Amino acid sequence: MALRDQLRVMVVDDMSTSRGLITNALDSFGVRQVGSASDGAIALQKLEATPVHLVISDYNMPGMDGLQLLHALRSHGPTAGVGFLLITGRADREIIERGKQLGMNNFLKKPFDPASLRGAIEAIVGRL
Amino acid sequence: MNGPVSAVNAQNIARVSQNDEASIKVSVLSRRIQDELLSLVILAAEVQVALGPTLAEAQSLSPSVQRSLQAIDRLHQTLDDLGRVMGHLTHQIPDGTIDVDPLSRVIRLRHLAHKLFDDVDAPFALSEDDSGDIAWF
Repeated sequence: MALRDQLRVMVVDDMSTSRGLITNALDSFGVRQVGSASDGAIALQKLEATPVHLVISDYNMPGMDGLQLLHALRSHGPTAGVGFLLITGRADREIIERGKQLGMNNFLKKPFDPASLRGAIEAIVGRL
Repeated sequence: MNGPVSAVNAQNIARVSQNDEASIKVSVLSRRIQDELLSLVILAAEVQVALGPTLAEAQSLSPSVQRSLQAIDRLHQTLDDLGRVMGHLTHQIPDGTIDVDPLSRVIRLRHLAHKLFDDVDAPFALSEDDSGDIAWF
């Protein structure tokens, strides 16, 4: 069984267009076990109930931003080891450095194409 | 611009000037621009909600289309921020007045001009020129 058949992913973005596009791209890679959440708090609840291998999160979200979500995940035993890919329209050095300190596994700048997304995911989990 | 439309605009400008209503307070204009930006943010959110599930299940979206569609996020968030900027400016800039006519001429959407200068929300105002033909602005 290929990795893509086993991989469980959570997409976190307050914008449904982005969630739809990422879900669409994942589907085109053959990754079909995909959940989604419109903000960090909802994501944490869902991840508590249904663990995943990889979280793909937008940075700029109201309430809890992507790095705050990452911090919450890393601070909580059951989710501390989950893969984390940050998607951001602002690839500022400060954001990237903070992300690295918090344990971010990779980041991707918007706008991205499916091939870039696949590459960023494979750099974390291995070949799909 | 030639023809009946420019004639109608000229008449409107003359009428407004005669009524001594050819200027608008900066604070009022700023507030109306902020309101319009907030309306656009809501529209952008509605577009997002409508598109999201469709995109998730769409077949064969090209990479270039996927990149372009991501711009909707940027539009949404930028409009939101610009609305906040206008709200801030409303309280910060000295309150003078601005001539309406020069501003009105650079606005192509007549319903937007009505909202900004007349506080009239008429997105599809129907008008009738001298020829009797109905024209949509």
